[in-house]
Amino acid sequence: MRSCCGCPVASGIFRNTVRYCSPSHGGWGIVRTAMLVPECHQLFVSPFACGRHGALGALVQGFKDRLSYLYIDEADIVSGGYEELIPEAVDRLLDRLVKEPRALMIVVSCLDDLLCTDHEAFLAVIRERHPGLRVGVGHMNPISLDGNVPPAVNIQRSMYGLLERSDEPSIPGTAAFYGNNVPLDEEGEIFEVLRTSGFHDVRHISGCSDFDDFDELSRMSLNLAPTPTGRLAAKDAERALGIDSEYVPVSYDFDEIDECYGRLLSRSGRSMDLGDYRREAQRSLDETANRLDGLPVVVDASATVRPFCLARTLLMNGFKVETVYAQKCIPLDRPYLEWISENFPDTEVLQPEHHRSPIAREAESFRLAVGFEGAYLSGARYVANVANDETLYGYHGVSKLAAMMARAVERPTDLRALLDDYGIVV
Amino acid sequence: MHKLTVSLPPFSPDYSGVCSALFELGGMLLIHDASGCTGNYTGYDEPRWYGSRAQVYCTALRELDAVLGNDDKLIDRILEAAEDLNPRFIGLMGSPVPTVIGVDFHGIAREIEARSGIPSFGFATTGLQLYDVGVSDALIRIAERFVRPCGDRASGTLNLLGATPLDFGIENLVPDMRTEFEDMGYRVLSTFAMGSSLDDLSKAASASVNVVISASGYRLAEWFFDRHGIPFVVGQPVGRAQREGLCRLIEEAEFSGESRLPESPCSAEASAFLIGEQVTAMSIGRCLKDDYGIPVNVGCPFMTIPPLKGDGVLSLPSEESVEAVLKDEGYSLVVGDPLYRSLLRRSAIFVDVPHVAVSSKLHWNDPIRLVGDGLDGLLKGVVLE
Repeated sequence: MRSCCGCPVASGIFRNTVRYCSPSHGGWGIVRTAMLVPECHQLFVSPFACGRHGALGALVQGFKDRLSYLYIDEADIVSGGYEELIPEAVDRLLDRLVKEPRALMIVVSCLDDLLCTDHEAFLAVIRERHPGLRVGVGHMNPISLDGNVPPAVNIQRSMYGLLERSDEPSIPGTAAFYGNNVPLDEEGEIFEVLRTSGFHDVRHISGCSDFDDFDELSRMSLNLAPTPTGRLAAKDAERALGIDSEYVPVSYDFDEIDECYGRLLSRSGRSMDLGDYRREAQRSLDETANRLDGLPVVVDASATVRPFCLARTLLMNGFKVETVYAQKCIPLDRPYLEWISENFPDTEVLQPEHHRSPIAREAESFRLAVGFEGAYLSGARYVANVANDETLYGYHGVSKLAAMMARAVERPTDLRALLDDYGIVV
Repeated sequence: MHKLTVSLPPFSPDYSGVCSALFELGGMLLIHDASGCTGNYTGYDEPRWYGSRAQVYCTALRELDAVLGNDDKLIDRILEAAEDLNPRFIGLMGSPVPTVIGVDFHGIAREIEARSGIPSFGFATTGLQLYDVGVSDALIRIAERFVRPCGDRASGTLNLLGATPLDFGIENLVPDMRTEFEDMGYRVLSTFAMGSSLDDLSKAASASVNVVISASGYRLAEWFFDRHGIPFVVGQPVGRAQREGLCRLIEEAEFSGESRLPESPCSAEASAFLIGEQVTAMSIGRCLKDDYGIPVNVGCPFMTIPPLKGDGVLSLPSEESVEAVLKDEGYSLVVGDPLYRSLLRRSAIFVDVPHVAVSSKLHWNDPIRLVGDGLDGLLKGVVLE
């Protein structure tokens, strides 16, 4: 396997250079993600610069009316006492809002990691002054990106941290997904697997119409984390709310999909024949590989949290995966990276944020890209509109992705329009 | 200044201003931050970013580096990239976290320059100031380093100072302005800093007069006057009367060697209010007053030019202050970025003049061509029928 710096896998292909931020880089961002909590208002407390991308993203997405800012300046930072400003700002904010929120998330930025603000102190004051308001703290702190709790993980914990243990008993046969911002396709076999396992009522935060609806998530019987970002939030809910959880990471590897469903089914001690689903996924892959007929494919980490897992499945099924764009490799994906390295040494791994990326970018090429960032950097004429595994899961996910790839090569893609539609925020 | 802001987005910050001013000049630009600040600039403050090969990077500052003050790692990464990319210069700028940990940007730039031989600049931007401060600083620093002294100054030659997409977008507004001045009989040598190369800028000392077309060009104009004796005028050729007025000021400035400032358009009994970047707003205001007979007032949330500060121009440092002035029943016409419209809670005609530093990509494809007779088209149908 080749890398942009020429290092073999063994010596580490991922380099820390100054980082390029392409127009296709980013995702939902913290603001949009936390907006999944219905009737929740976000008050950012930060230098004004920290909020520009989130606010403009909110204007584009249409939820700016639930997002406000308390700008702090150098004097507030130096004095270290800016948390004292927050309760007063909350009072003024609530006076000004047309619709009273049911919950309030005070969001702090990178600075807070260094200043060690006492969040509990200002939360206690706000709770005392506004007893009916559910209040929590969120972090938009990319300075922690290389740590154990990066911002995308942390914001999931903050969102579900707004849930409080209910006096009512848990609702039997209910489950909720944590960490996937877009719900999985309801046609997917995972819902049949869950029904077979006794879960007939499966919810997702995006389906909660109001805060009461969201609050009912505190009474689920099981939480499922189909992404690494939701795993800690689900663990928190185990401790705080007593809800059992299962980590069921998205995969494009048939054996791993089987293994995951096996774990879910084992909760009820029942079994299920998944052969038809597996055969259908295989048929879809075969059909698309024939349709592509050797067209070079690039896979990137903006399309899936597991680009190496996806790349291996494609390589094993006759696709010509030329490049995988990934800034790093998560532990879950490491065995797939190593497999590709051993079996397909010509497949290239490029870091999209490498400093050479802007000069190496191709203006146009005869390729199919799975994901936005690889599309931009490779200049791929065709793009499968997949971001962050959204809606994809299990065999149905594989089939759906294969169909999207086949459709993508029907006509050249206007990537810029695709990015505008998606509303990428760094 | 503690500001609660409910409706408006945060405006473009100082580091975006620096990057915007230097974007076209072939340098390698680095924002010392974790990623969000760079995303602000590349995603929302730089309409030229898509498809560009410009070298703008994030230093990927992490918590441990911040705590340990690991400048060597930063310098090594920058040098590694510079060796690959061979930029004409290197610009390193700060964001809120480096402000707190006290990063010495000038010192780091000196070390990078000493080790690489590449001209290097450190900008102590903080993300706590607005874009115009950054633009202003960047233009001065680039001029100090690259503008060459010139013995002879050709009559009727101009530099336009203060042009970046944050004030003018990328859709022809600056080329329009350049063409307009050329139609007025002048030769434009350079535009700091859009549409001119670093080599163009280096010859700017041969101009006879500088024209400040946004407030962020003012300090550079003062620098040119102090260093090279070039007088300046302030304004944009918006409307017929102002075009003539600017010609007159330029002639006077060239003849006398003294700078010339325009009269304020503001009056006590105004029926129109203009909110925005100061030179643009005052230029629109003068056009409304002189060509249409509409008395105006001007409000500015951004940098103001010191001698023009007390000229009836209101300083609007917060959302509340903008809201307060828009309550004034005396204004039947308001001109400004479309996002200010949300703060207008009464009946008045609102004319949209998008400002990228405010509304970013929401409106950067809808520029208003103001120079010459451009404002006629804008006002027709809303005011003049």
